Amino acid sequence: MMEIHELRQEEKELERRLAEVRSQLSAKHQAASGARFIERRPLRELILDTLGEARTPLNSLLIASVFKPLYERDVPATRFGTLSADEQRSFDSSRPRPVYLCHCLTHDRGQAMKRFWARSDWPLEDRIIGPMTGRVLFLKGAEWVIQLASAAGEGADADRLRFVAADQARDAGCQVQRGNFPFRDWITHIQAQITRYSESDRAVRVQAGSELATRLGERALLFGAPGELTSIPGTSKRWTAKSS
Amino acid sequence: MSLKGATALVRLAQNPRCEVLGAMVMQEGPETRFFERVVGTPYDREYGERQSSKRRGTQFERNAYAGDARLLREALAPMVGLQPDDIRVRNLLDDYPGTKDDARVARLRITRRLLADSLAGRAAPHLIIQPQLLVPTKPGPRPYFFIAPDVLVWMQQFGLYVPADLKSFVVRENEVSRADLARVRLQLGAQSLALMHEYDHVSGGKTVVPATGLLIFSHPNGLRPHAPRTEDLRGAREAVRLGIEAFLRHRRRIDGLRAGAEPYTVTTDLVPHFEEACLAQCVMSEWCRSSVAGRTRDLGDSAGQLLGNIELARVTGLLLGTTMAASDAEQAIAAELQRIANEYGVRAA
Repeated sequence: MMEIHELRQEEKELERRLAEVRSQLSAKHQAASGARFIERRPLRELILDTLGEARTPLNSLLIASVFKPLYERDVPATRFGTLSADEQRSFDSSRPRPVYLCHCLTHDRGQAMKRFWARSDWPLEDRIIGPMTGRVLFLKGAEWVIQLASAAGEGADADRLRFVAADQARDAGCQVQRGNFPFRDWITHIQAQITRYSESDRAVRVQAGSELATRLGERALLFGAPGELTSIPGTSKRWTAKSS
Repeated sequence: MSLKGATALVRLAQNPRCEVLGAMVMQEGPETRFFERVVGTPYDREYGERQSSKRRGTQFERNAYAGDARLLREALAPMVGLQPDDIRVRNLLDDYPGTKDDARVARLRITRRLLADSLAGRAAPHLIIQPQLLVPTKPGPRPYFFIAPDVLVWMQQFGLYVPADLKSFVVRENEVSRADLARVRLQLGAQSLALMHEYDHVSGGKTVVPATGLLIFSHPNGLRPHAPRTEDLRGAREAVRLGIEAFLRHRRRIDGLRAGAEPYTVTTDLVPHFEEACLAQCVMSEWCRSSVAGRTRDLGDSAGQLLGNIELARVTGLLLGTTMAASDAEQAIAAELQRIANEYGVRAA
């Protein structure tokens, strides 16, 4: 048994190194031949890279809206569902991956919030959603997109990225005027909001992380704890009598 | 588009006496397919919501839910009794996106848990976006209706959630036409009934859900939420409850007739109840109208109510005095018709 375990560890390490080499290779190809190589890369790799750059969990709607300007790719909403299923199948297979795409977990029951994507190599508390985390993640995602847009050069994709950034800024409550992109002001406004929530939000997530780590297995910590049974239809005889 | 969810309950509440409507609700598949199978020809008239309305509705919801529902938080802060920044939001489409039944069941499970958390005093969201509720009609075909309000709002006044619906109608000064208002009130009534059921499910019948709902219309410009309108739902909730009871009656009768066959097969044995409003919302309206052809109900709801569903030839006879009234009521109607005929100079040709 020990030997199998050691071999698995070795396989995992080799997979990790292979992923590193592929990542370096893709960077070289990208530099050499522009966006065409990116198009051929699997979606999961692109999302892992995107999350790595953003350094915060991202909502699939935001991922889809930045993929067009960043990678010239349309990602239909249903694709995220199959991606999740593929990732879980991959986890269950005998070939481990160095890093998985996974979902954020609810702070109380550890169930998956399927629209929020994270990386398995992040600390657990960074993958947990507390009562106010949804707002913090929205704000961090908006800040990241605005920073991307402010660093973008010229061209149609850069324009598109600026419009995505402006949408995020408007949703965050910033003043947005057509044709104006005051990135610095928007980021300052958003950072002030993040500061307002971040400390208490982090405290909730850290505590929840330590509790969930003792309660859930490795798989559930990545893809969510299974939900309890739901009674359908469930009813009581009293309910019709109370409507008036 | 099949007739299900709150739409089905609203239609049943509007016309509880129509057995054909009951069969349509029981039948799987779209309404137009029901028409096609009963009448034998494809339905070739306008049907469904306009694309422009759908786009407008989608954009309004997108605006309202964006930025952790920033605009909604601002609009609903007085009801919740907190500053917009302190309001907690949970969008259940983030938990489990999709419109298939497994997604609805998952959202129902989460909604029930959040209701229980709120009752137990645990930290629950003040706004639950895209919750899932259920109205049971078991046992039998269509044993439940899934009901999905746009938002459940925790109102400080009650310490409970109430349903809220976003409507992208063009309104001025938050006023909406009477017909539209009646329909959306019934929709809220169905949501309130479903919420009662879910509260009963989690609290064992100890929670009395207020007959209150919120309507959130759009500003004419910019598709931003207006200040919410608080609606008294006592009447609407009762109307929907009567509609459900009517559906249970229709279902029993249809089940007795069809002997295992599909509901549309017994449509000709059912009793339609044609009303003016059917013309604007039911694919079967012209077919049902043929059942009142040559009778006063074909002239409209008011004529039907005033004169009873008698033959037009008899009305003509009463009007011209060539037919004897058969009762005191008919005598009064005949006198009134003759007065009108004299006033307008109506005579036999």
